[in-house]
Amino acid sequence: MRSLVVLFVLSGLFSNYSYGIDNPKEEPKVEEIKVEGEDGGTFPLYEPVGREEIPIKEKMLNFGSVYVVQWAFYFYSQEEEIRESGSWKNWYENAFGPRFDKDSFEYNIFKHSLTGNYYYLFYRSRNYSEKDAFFWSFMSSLAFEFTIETATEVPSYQDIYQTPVFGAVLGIGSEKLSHYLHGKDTWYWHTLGYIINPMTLIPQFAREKKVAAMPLIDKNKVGALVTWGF
Amino acid sequence: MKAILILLILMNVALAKEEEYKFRPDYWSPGLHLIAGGGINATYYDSNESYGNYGYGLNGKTDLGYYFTNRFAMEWSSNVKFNRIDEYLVWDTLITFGLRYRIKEYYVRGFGGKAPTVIFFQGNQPDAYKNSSASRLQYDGPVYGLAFGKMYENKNGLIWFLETSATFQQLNDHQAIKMDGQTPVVLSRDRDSSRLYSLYFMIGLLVF
Repeated sequence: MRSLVVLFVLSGLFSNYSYGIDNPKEEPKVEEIKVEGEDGGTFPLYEPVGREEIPIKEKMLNFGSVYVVQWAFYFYSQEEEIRESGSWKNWYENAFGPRFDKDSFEYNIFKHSLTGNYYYLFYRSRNYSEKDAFFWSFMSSLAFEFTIETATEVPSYQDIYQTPVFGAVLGIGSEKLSHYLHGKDTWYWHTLGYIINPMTLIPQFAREKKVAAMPLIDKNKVGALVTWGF
Repeated sequence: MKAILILLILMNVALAKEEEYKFRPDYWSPGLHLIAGGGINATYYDSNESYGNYGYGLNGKTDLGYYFTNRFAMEWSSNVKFNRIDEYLVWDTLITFGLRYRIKEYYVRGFGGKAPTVIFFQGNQPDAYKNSSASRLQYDGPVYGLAFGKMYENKNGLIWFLETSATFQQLNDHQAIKMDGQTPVVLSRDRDSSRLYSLYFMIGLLVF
């Protein structure tokens, strides 16, 4: 088991290092790619082409950003559960005993797929290829299952598989639908496009439309401040 | 757990290697591929309990595979199956590992794994649970299956498939579960010897 973990880490380094070392090729930036809209105007491409080479430093930064958001979300959504049954002992020991959970399908299928969808869309918004975005969604999902959620529960086999895999399938659909809606060039279709793929609000995409969003998390409420320039 | 790590290692290797040619129904490209589809299923439930015997419903599946050669792959799959047997809703999650082999544009798959099966009472508690606050039963046990399919490529280059498959599930034990808020609580645990035989017909596509 330990040798497999070591082999996995080494293969990960090899995989990243083999095509992320110097980023020698100049890839087109997403905001530079324009697509013709129905009215003859152009809009930025919301369906990233995907870079062949992404520097390992950037990959670690993106993965780290997701990891910080995962911790924040976990503390926010599971505050009571953590207070009642969370412990460092659980956090360490639970990581070594994954099993099939007993959650209902609202959690196992819908909520986890939606979470995986956001992981996938985030990495795609950073210009990862479909396979790379899927792989890093998988890594983020594993990080959550094995190093965050273990404070209160054991990792679940259903979640390990379904979050990134169902999430990627849903994410590919969300991305295409969002791309289609942004192509309509009316404010209401754009808004729906942002709702379906909120990662298009990330500055890289939003610069053109002067859109920015900032999450607001308080003790008893959560929200977002969105600004839109005309 | 070991199988998951092996697949992750293969994913790393697949990502490090550039795809040399495009995936075709009659000539697979080595590397990582994801297939997704959905369809209908019919299930025969062989049990000593007082539930009905036949059910039918919808299901969706994904096959995450590492394709070693142009005709041979190892897969990690999930098949989520919803079924209605009398007034009960049955939800199966078949998590399996398997092998896929291609003959021209046809393929066969063999797989095995575990399948938590959940029967929701939906207000109709069977006799054995009449005085219990249990809202569902969760069964555990192995699953084995075989599938046969054919892949196609449309004019736009989209790869899609038709597949028929059969699975056998042995349900070795069951647990009565009630929900305490969002937390499932196990009320009782018993041995079981039920079996599920299912037939599927599915359509889907190569996601990447």
